[in-house]
Amino acid sequence: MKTFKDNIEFQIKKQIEERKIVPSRDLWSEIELHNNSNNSPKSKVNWFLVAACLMLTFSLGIALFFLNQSPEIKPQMVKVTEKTTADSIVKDPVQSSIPLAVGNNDKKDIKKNTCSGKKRSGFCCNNGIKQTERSCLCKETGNSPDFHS
Amino acid sequence: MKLLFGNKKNDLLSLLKKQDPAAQKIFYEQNVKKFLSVSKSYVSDLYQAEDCLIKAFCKIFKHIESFRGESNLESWARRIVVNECLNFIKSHKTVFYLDEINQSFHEDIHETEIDCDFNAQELLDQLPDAYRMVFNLYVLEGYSHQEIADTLQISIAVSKTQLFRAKEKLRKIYFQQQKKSEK
Repeated sequence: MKTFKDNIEFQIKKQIEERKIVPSRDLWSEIELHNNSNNSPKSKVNWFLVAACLMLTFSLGIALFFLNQSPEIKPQMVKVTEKTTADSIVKDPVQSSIPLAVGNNDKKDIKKNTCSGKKRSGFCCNNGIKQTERSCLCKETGNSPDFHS
Repeated sequence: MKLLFGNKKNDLLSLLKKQDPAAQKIFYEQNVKKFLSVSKSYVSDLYQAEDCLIKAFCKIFKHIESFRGESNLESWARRIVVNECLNFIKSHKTVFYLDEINQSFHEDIHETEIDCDFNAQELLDQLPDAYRMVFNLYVLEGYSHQEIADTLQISIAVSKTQLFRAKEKLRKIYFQQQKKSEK
Protein backbone atom coordinates (compact mmCIF):
# COMPACT_ATOMS: atom_id res chain seq x y z
CA MET A 1 0.00 0.00 0.00
CA LYS A 2 1.39 3.31 -1.07
CA THR A 3 1.28 6.12 1.47
CA PHE A 4 0.87 9.79 0.67
CA LYS A 5 4.56 10.55 1.01
CA ASP A 6 5.55 7.66 -1.24
CA ASN A 7 3.16 8.92 -3.84
CA ILE A 8 4.30 12.50 -3.77
CA GLU A 9 7.97 11.49 -3.89
CA PHE A 10 7.31 9.11 -6.72
CA GLN A 11 5.28 11.63 -8.66
CA ILE A 12 7.90 14.36 -8.28
CA LYS A 13 10.69 12.02 -9.34
CA LYS A 14 8.67 10.79 -12.31
CA GLN A 15 7.81 14.29 -13.47
CA ILE A 16 11.39 15.59 -13.16
CA GLU A 17 12.87 12.53 -14.90
CA GLU A 18 10.44 12.68 -17.78
CA ARG A 19 10.64 16.44 -18.18
CA LYS A 20 12.83 18.06 -20.81
CA ILE A 21 13.42 21.81 -20.75
CA VAL A 22 14.51 23.66 -23.86
CA PRO A 23 17.13 26.32 -23.06
CA SER A 24 15.94 29.89 -23.41
CA ARG A 25 19.22 31.00 -24.98
CA ASP A 26 22.08 29.57 -27.01
CA LEU A 27 24.06 27.75 -24.34
CA TRP A 28 26.33 25.96 -26.80
CA SER A 29 27.94 29.16 -28.04
CA GLU A 30 28.77 30.13 -24.44
CA ILE A 31 30.17 26.66 -23.72
CA GLU A 32 32.29 26.87 -26.87
CA LEU A 33 33.52 30.29 -25.85
CA HIS A 34 34.48 28.99 -22.39
CA ASN A 35 36.22 25.97 -23.87
CA ASN A 36 38.21 28.03 -26.34
CA SER A 37 39.26 30.57 -23.74
CA ASN A 38 40.20 27.86 -21.25
CA ASN A 39 42.12 25.50 -23.50
CA SER A 40 44.37 26.86 -26.20
CA PRO A 41 45.39 30.46 -25.39
CA LYS A 42 46.26 29.75 -21.78
CA SER A 43 48.74 27.04 -22.64
CA LYS A 44 50.44 29.29 -25.20
CA VAL A 45 50.67 32.16 -22.76
CA ASN A 46 52.06 29.87 -20.10
CA TRP A 47 54.85 28.69 -22.37
CA PHE A 48 55.67 32.27 -23.26
CA LEU A 49 55.71 33.17 -19.59
CA VAL A 50 57.99 30.27 -18.73
CA ALA A 51 60.39 31.19 -21.52
CA ALA A 52 60.38 34.84 -20.51
CA CYS A 53 61.04 33.97 -16.87
CA LEU A 54 63.91 31.70 -17.81
CA MET A 55 65.47 34.38 -19.99
CA LEU A 56 65.09 36.99 -17.28
CA THR A 57 66.63 34.83 -14.58
CA PHE A 58 69.48 33.80 -16.89
CA SER A 59 70.30 37.39 -17.84
CA LEU A 60 70.03 38.54 -14.24
CA GLY A 61 72.33 35.75 -13.15
CA ILE A 62 74.94 36.72 -15.73
CA ALA A 63 74.69 40.38 -14.81
CA LEU A 64 75.06 39.67 -11.11
CA PHE A 65 77.98 37.34 -11.76
CA PHE A 66 79.97 40.01 -13.61
CA LEU A 67 78.99 42.76 -11.21
CA ASN A 68 80.18 40.73 -8.27
CA GLN A 69 83.42 39.75 -9.96
CA SER A 70 84.78 43.27 -10.76
CA PRO A 71 84.63 44.81 -7.27
CA GLU A 72 86.36 41.77 -5.81
CA ILE A 73 89.61 42.55 -7.66
CA LYS A 74 89.93 46.14 -6.49
CA PRO A 75 89.85 45.54 -2.75
CA GLN A 76 92.44 42.82 -3.14
CA MET A 77 94.87 45.26 -4.71
CA VAL A 78 94.25 47.80 -1.98
CA LYS A 79 94.78 45.22 0.70
CA VAL A 80 98.10 44.14 -0.78
CA THR A 81 99.45 47.68 -0.89
CA GLU A 82 98.34 48.37 2.63
CA LYS A 83 100.04 45.24 3.89
CA THR A 84 103.33 46.07 2.14
CA THR A 85 103.41 49.63 3.47
CA ALA A 86 102.60 48.50 6.95
CA ASP A 87 105.30 45.82 6.84
CA SER A 88 107.88 48.19 5.44
CA ILE A 89 107.17 50.80 8.10
CA VAL A 90 107.72 48.24 10.81
CA LYS A 91 110.92 46.95 9.24
CA ASP A 92 112.58 50.22 8.28
CA PRO A 93 110.54 53.13 9.48
CA VAL A 94 112.92 55.92 8.45
CA GLN A 95 113.67 54.97 4.84
CA SER A 96 110.29 53.64 3.91
CA SER A 97 108.38 56.55 5.34
CA ILE A 98 109.86 59.03 2.86
CA PRO A 99 108.54 57.56 -0.38
CA LEU A 100 105.35 56.65 1.36
CA ALA A 101 104.66 60.19 2.38
CA VAL A 102 105.75 61.62 -1.00
CA GLY A 103 104.02 59.07 -3.11
CA ASN A 104 100.78 59.03 -1.22
CA ASN A 105 99.32 62.34 -2.22
CA ASP A 106 95.84 61.17 -1.48
CA LYS A 107 96.29 61.11 2.25
CA LYS A 108 95.29 64.67 2.74
CA ASP A 109 94.67 64.29 6.43
CA ILE A 110 98.29 63.57 7.11
CA LYS A 111 99.36 66.54 5.05
CA LYS A 112 96.94 68.80 6.74
CA ASN A 113 98.15 67.69 10.12
CA THR A 114 101.75 68.17 9.18
CA CYS A 115 100.99 71.51 7.55
CA SER A 116 99.19 72.77 10.52
CA GLY A 117 102.11 71.68 12.68
CA LYS A 118 104.62 73.33 10.39
CA LYS A 119 102.64 76.52 10.19
CA ARG A 120 102.88 76.76 13.91
CA SER A 121 106.58 75.99 13.85
CA GLY A 122 107.27 78.44 10.96
CA PHE A 123 107.73 76.01 7.99
CA CYS A 124 106.07 76.41 4.57
CA CYS A 125 103.51 73.78 3.63
CA ASN A 126 104.15 73.92 -0.14
CA ASN A 127 107.44 72.09 0.07
CA GLY A 128 106.66 68.37 0.14
CA ILE A 129 110.15 67.17 0.89
CA LYS A 130 110.44 69.36 3.92
CA GLN A 131 107.14 68.04 5.14
CA THR A 132 108.27 64.45 4.90
CA GLU A 133 111.55 65.21 6.60
CA ARG A 134 109.68 66.87 9.35
CA SER A 135 107.35 63.92 9.70
CA CYS A 136 110.31 61.56 9.79
CA LEU A 137 111.93 63.57 12.52
CA CYS A 138 108.73 63.42 14.41
CA LYS A 139 108.57 59.67 14.10
CA GLU A 140 112.17 59.26 15.30
CA THR A 141 111.70 61.46 18.30
CA GLY A 142 108.29 59.98 18.94
CA ASN A 143 106.62 63.38 19.28
CA SER A 144 104.20 65.11 16.98
CA PRO A 145 105.10 68.45 15.37
CA ASP A 146 102.28 70.06 17.19
CA PHE A 147 103.87 69.43 20.55
CA HIS A 148 107.24 70.87 19.39
CA SER A 149 105.68 74.10 18.35
CA MET B 1 30.86 9.89 -39.56
CA LYS B 2 32.57 7.67 -37.06
CA LEU B 3 29.71 8.14 -34.67
CA LEU B 4 27.21 6.66 -37.11
CA PHE B 5 28.81 3.22 -37.08
CA GLY B 6 29.93 0.67 -34.55
CA ASN B 7 29.64 1.19 -30.79
CA LYS B 8 28.42 4.75 -30.71
CA LYS B 9 28.89 5.35 -26.99
CA ASN B 10 32.49 4.17 -26.95
CA ASP B 11 33.27 6.15 -30.08
CA LEU B 12 31.69 9.24 -28.61
CA LEU B 13 33.64 8.79 -25.38
CA SER B 14 36.95 8.33 -27.18
CA LEU B 15 36.28 11.42 -29.29
CA LEU B 16 35.27 13.40 -26.22
CA LYS B 17 38.55 12.41 -24.60
CA LYS B 18 40.33 13.80 -27.66
CA GLN B 19 38.45 17.09 -27.11
CA ASP B 20 36.74 16.74 -30.46
CA PRO B 21 34.33 19.71 -30.87
CA ALA B 22 31.86 17.77 -33.02
CA ALA B 23 31.59 15.02 -30.40
CA GLN B 24 31.15 17.64 -27.69
CA LYS B 25 28.30 19.21 -29.64
CA ILE B 26 26.61 15.80 -30.06
CA PHE B 27 26.94 15.04 -26.36
CA TYR B 28 25.54 18.48 -25.54
CA GLU B 29 22.53 18.08 -27.82
CA GLN B 30 21.81 14.61 -26.45
CA ASN B 31 21.72 15.76 -22.83
CA VAL B 32 21.05 19.49 -22.56
CA LYS B 33 17.26 19.26 -22.11
CA LYS B 34 17.46 16.47 -19.57
CA PHE B 35 20.25 18.15 -17.61
CA LEU B 36 18.44 21.49 -17.66
CA SER B 37 15.48 19.77 -16.05
CA VAL B 38 17.79 18.44 -13.32
CA SER B 39 19.42 21.84 -12.88
CA LYS B 40 16.03 23.56 -12.69
CA SER B 41 14.89 21.21 -9.93
CA TYR B 42 17.74 22.57 -7.74
CA VAL B 43 17.91 26.19 -8.93
CA SER B 44 14.47 27.72 -9.38
CA ASP B 45 15.50 30.53 -11.69
CA LEU B 46 15.83 29.32 -15.28
CA TYR B 47 18.60 31.77 -16.20
CA GLN B 48 20.69 30.72 -13.18
CA ALA B 49 19.98 27.06 -13.91
CA GLU B 50 21.30 27.60 -17.42
CA ASP B 51 24.42 29.28 -16.03
CA CYS B 52 25.02 26.25 -13.83
CA LEU B 53 24.58 24.01 -16.84
CA ILE B 54 27.14 25.97 -18.88
CA LYS B 55 29.70 25.58 -16.10
CA ALA B 56 28.83 21.92 -15.72
CA PHE B 57 29.31 21.18 -19.43
CA CYS B 58 32.65 23.01 -19.39
CA LYS B 59 33.75 20.85 -16.45
CA ILE B 60 32.51 17.70 -18.13
CA PHE B 61 34.52 18.40 -21.28
CA LYS B 62 37.57 19.52 -19.32
CA HIS B 63 37.67 16.53 -16.96
CA ILE B 64 36.45 13.87 -19.36
CA GLU B 65 39.91 12.26 -19.11
CA SER B 66 39.21 11.38 -15.48
CA PHE B 67 36.12 9.35 -16.47
CA ARG B 68 37.20 5.73 -16.17
CA GLY B 69 34.05 4.14 -17.56
CA GLU B 70 33.10 2.44 -14.30
CA SER B 71 29.63 4.00 -14.51
CA ASN B 72 27.44 5.36 -17.25
CA LEU B 73 28.76 8.53 -18.89
CA GLU B 74 25.38 10.25 -18.54
CA SER B 75 25.13 9.51 -14.83
CA TRP B 76 28.73 10.72 -14.32
CA ALA B 77 27.89 13.93 -16.17
CA ARG B 78 24.63 14.31 -14.27
CA ARG B 79 26.55 14.12 -11.01
CA ILE B 80 28.71 17.02 -12.17
CA VAL B 81 25.57 19.01 -13.03
CA VAL B 82 24.14 18.36 -9.57
CA ASN B 83 27.41 19.32 -7.86
CA GLU B 84 27.55 22.52 -9.88
CA CYS B 85 24.02 23.42 -8.80
CA LEU B 86 24.85 22.70 -5.15
CA ASN B 87 27.97 24.86 -5.41
CA PHE B 88 25.91 27.66 -6.92
CA ILE B 89 23.36 27.53 -4.08
CA LYS B 90 26.10 27.43 -1.44
CA SER B 91 27.99 30.35 -2.94
CA HIS B 92 25.04 32.60 -3.80
CA LYS B 93 22.63 31.94 -0.95
CA THR B 94 22.76 31.54 2.79
CA VAL B 95 21.42 28.11 3.60
CA PHE B 96 20.01 27.44 7.06
CA TYR B 97 19.69 23.88 8.27
CA LEU B 98 17.24 23.64 11.16
CA ASP B 99 18.09 20.55 13.16
CA GLU B 100 15.14 20.64 15.56
CA ILE B 101 12.41 18.14 14.96
CA ASN B 102 8.92 17.97 16.32
CA GLN B 103 7.83 14.38 16.90
CA SER B 104 4.17 15.26 16.35
CA PHE B 105 4.87 15.76 12.64
CA HIS B 106 5.46 12.03 12.31
CA GLU B 107 1.94 11.30 13.51
CA ASP B 108 0.33 13.74 11.09
CA ILE B 109 1.37 11.90 7.97
CA HIS B 110 -1.72 10.79 6.15
CA GLU B 111 -1.74 7.57 4.28
CA THR B 112 -3.90 8.90 1.49
CA GLU B 113 -3.59 8.72 -2.27
CA ILE B 114 -2.97 11.89 -4.21
CA ASP B 115 -3.86 13.04 -7.69
CA CYS B 116 -1.13 13.10 -10.30
CA ASP B 117 -2.16 16.40 -11.82
CA PHE B 118 0.06 18.64 -9.69
CA ASN B 119 3.12 20.46 -10.99
CA ALA B 120 6.22 19.07 -9.30
CA GLN B 121 8.34 22.11 -10.16
CA GLU B 122 5.84 24.45 -8.51
CA LEU B 123 6.03 22.43 -5.31
CA LEU B 124 9.84 22.29 -5.38
CA ASP B 125 10.12 26.03 -6.04
CA GLN B 126 8.29 26.76 -2.81
CA LEU B 127 10.67 24.72 -0.68
CA PRO B 128 13.51 26.47 1.15
CA ASP B 129 16.96 25.78 -0.36
CA ALA B 130 18.06 23.48 2.45
CA TYR B 131 14.93 21.33 2.21
CA ARG B 132 15.06 21.23 -1.57
CA MET B 133 18.70 20.21 -1.73
CA VAL B 134 18.27 17.32 0.70
CA PHE B 135 14.95 16.23 -0.84
CA ASN B 136 16.35 16.23 -4.39
CA LEU B 137 19.53 14.41 -3.42
CA TYR B 138 17.54 11.74 -1.58
CA VAL B 139 14.58 11.32 -3.93
CA LEU B 140 15.91 12.26 -7.37
CA GLU B 141 19.57 11.22 -7.10
CA GLY B 142 19.03 8.29 -4.75
CA TYR B 143 21.72 9.39 -2.28
CA SER B 144 21.83 7.86 1.19
CA HIS B 145 21.76 10.13 4.25
CA GLN B 146 25.48 9.45 4.73
CA GLU B 147 26.21 10.63 1.17
CA ILE B 148 24.02 13.70 1.62
CA ALA B 149 25.79 14.49 4.89
CA ASP B 150 29.18 14.19 3.17
CA THR B 151 28.12 16.26 0.15
CA LEU B 152 26.48 19.10 2.08
CA GLN B 153 28.88 18.86 5.06
CA ILE B 154 26.10 18.34 7.58
CA SER B 155 25.34 15.56 10.04
CA ILE B 156 23.19 12.55 9.18
CA ALA B 157 20.60 13.65 11.75
CA VAL B 158 20.30 17.05 10.09
CA SER B 159 19.92 15.38 6.71
CA LYS B 160 17.07 13.22 8.04
CA THR B 161 15.39 16.21 9.64
CA GLN B 162 15.61 18.28 6.47
CA LEU B 163 14.09 15.46 4.44
CA PHE B 164 11.25 15.00 6.89
CA ARG B 165 10.51 18.72 6.95
CA ALA B 166 10.69 18.93 3.16
CA LYS B 167 8.10 16.18 2.81
CA GLU B 168 5.85 17.88 5.32
CA LYS B 169 6.16 21.18 3.56
CA LEU B 170 5.38 19.59 0.21
CA ARG B 171 2.27 18.00 1.68
CA LYS B 172 1.08 21.33 3.06
CA ILE B 173 1.70 23.12 -0.22
CA TYR B 174 -0.07 20.39 -2.12
CA PHE B 175 -3.19 20.57 0.07
CA GLN B 176 -3.21 24.36 -0.10
CA GLN B 177 -3.15 24.16 -3.89
CA GLN B 178 -5.95 21.59 -3.85
CA LYS B 179 -8.10 23.84 -1.65
CA LYS B 180 -7.52 26.79 -3.95
CA SER B 181 -8.45 24.78 -7.00
CA GLU B 182 -11.65 23.50 -5.29
CA LYS B 183 -12.74 27.06 -4.51
